[in-house]
Amino acid sequence: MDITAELPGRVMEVAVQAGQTVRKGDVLMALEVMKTRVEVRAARDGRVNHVAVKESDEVRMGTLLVRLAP
Amino acid sequence: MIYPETRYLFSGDQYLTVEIGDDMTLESNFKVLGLDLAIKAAKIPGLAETLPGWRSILVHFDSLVIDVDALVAALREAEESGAGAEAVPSRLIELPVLYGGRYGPDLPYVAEANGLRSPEEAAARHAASLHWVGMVGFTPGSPQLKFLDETKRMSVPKYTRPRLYTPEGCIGLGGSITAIYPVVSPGGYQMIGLTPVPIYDRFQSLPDFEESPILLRLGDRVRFVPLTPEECDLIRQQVRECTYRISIKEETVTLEHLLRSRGAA
Amino acid sequence: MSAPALEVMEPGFLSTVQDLGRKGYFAAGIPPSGAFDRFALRVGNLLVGNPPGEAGIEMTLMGGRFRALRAAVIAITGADMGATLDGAPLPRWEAVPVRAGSELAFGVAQTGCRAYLCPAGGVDVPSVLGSKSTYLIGKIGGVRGRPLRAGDRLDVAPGARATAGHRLRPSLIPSYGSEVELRVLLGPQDDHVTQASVRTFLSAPYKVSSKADRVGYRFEGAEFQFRERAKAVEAGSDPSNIVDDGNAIGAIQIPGGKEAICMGPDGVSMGGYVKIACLIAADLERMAQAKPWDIARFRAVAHAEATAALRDSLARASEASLVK
Repeated sequence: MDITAELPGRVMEVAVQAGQTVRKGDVLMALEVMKTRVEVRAARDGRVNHVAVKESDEVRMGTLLVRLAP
Repeated sequence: MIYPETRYLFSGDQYLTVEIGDDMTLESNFKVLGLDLAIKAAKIPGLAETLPGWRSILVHFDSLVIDVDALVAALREAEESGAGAEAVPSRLIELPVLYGGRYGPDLPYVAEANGLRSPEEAAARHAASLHWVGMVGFTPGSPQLKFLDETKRMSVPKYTRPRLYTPEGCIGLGGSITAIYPVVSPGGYQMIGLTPVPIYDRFQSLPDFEESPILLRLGDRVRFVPLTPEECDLIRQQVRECTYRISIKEETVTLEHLLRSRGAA
Repeated sequence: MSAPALEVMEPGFLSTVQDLGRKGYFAAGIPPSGAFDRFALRVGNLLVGNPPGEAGIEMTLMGGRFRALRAAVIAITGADMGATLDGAPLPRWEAVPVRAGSELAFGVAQTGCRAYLCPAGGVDVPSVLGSKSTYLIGKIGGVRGRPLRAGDRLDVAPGARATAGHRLRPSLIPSYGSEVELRVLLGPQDDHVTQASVRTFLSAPYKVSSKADRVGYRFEGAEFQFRERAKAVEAGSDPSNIVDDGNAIGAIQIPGGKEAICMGPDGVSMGGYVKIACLIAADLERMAQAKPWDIARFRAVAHAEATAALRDSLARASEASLVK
């Protein structure tokens, strides 16, 4: 499952890495969107396949952030 | 210096900056204060409000009501009228301060930077001078104050990286300018103490805030009164109960007298 | 007699009640606030028969969900957030009747950044220091000085007359892109900056950063070089320092020569950094619709053009612009 950015901003912190297991609601990363900290959470349980961004990357609407398996 | 000729500068299309000089001296500030009074008295049509500062006045106007050239002409006329340049209203206001301790963690550094033996000495020096409000703004009611007694003046650099958090009521020193933080905000001034008295009362619940939610204005003189922690708690209680009365004396000062008397009226 | 008319189910990213702003407190450090896109608020109000300066809801980047507690007439203006009324597309720039129990939903702004929800009669919140506008730093105005929250019930004053179906002339509907031209007047401290930097400022693309909000928009791009000048005592050691003076709304500061920061409606009233230029009043509404990573290009204009642009913006937001 692809988790993409809903809003345009900058990556502040990446809280997970590839291979990590996450539960629904876990914080995957924090973005700065218009001076507001926005947390990106796992929509369901899974395992992080791929983290597509790193700290201070610019993200736009639709930018891939994290790929979760399954 | 005060410029030989006042500069009138565009600040967008709805504002003009009237710049009388480039420093933070009492002379410059006094000229600004006098000019601001003269501009207000002139009741220029289309002029919405003025924001006086250390050495300039930001004039907000409606460009659809008054032509820029007509506005500048009216402002020059106000300047030439010289009204208010001699004596200006100036209130003497007492603000109690708990120096040092938890809310003044930088007081030891201020003492050291000024060759003083102890933080207590730095606090005493700060409180021994009257302080002149030369500008208000940035956050609601936040003043910038200047030592009126040159012999007591202290100076410190600001933080190289501003803090993310400054508590409400914090007294800060940056350069030799004292600032008071009316609301929680980031900040770069050295924290030397805290006043339990609000300088921004958004609900206007304290008796002295009936006319305005902000306490201080340009031209006010502030006496910082050192407190013990117990006295501070008592005042906090009175503030919470909305009974605390601030000591405010309406006076008039002339520049000449101010310089001679170090701030006393 | 007001009654609760709108319930906030979800507030969205940042929604606040705004009218056309607070006057007379700038010297106190309280900025005007008010709708960032004044054109959109004015038109929204006119569409529902309100005076143009009535209070409405400003939604930022991603709007929320609202339930109508009674029948009302509303207008949505500004950014396209894919507005729906009970699931069906809700047209913008038009007065639309809603029934009691209807749900209004807004998503992410596809174009633009800020949308306005204007109910007939206007949002009825207490006036603080002469305005209903929310000033977040000062915690005054709007709903108790804060953004809207789920569960808020907003009163709406009774509307003046039925205007359902009124819409803005299609030719006047603004279109928002990912590039925006922002017109400025140079100064007051453009003389502190090298000619080359001024030329770059007026030709190079600047990117809206993620640090952009009602207080100000930061733009990333070519840095600025300062001219050699005698330093004013007490201003500070950096060449971008000046003795603090007043900031116009729209003033563009360049601290350290690194970024251009343009003051928005909640802009701080004074600053100690060189101001290279100021946005013209008419273009605040353009900046209001820019979002992070959009490209801005600054163009210098003379005062006469700025005044004409303001007159034009006001003319476009008038009764004559509506199709009834």
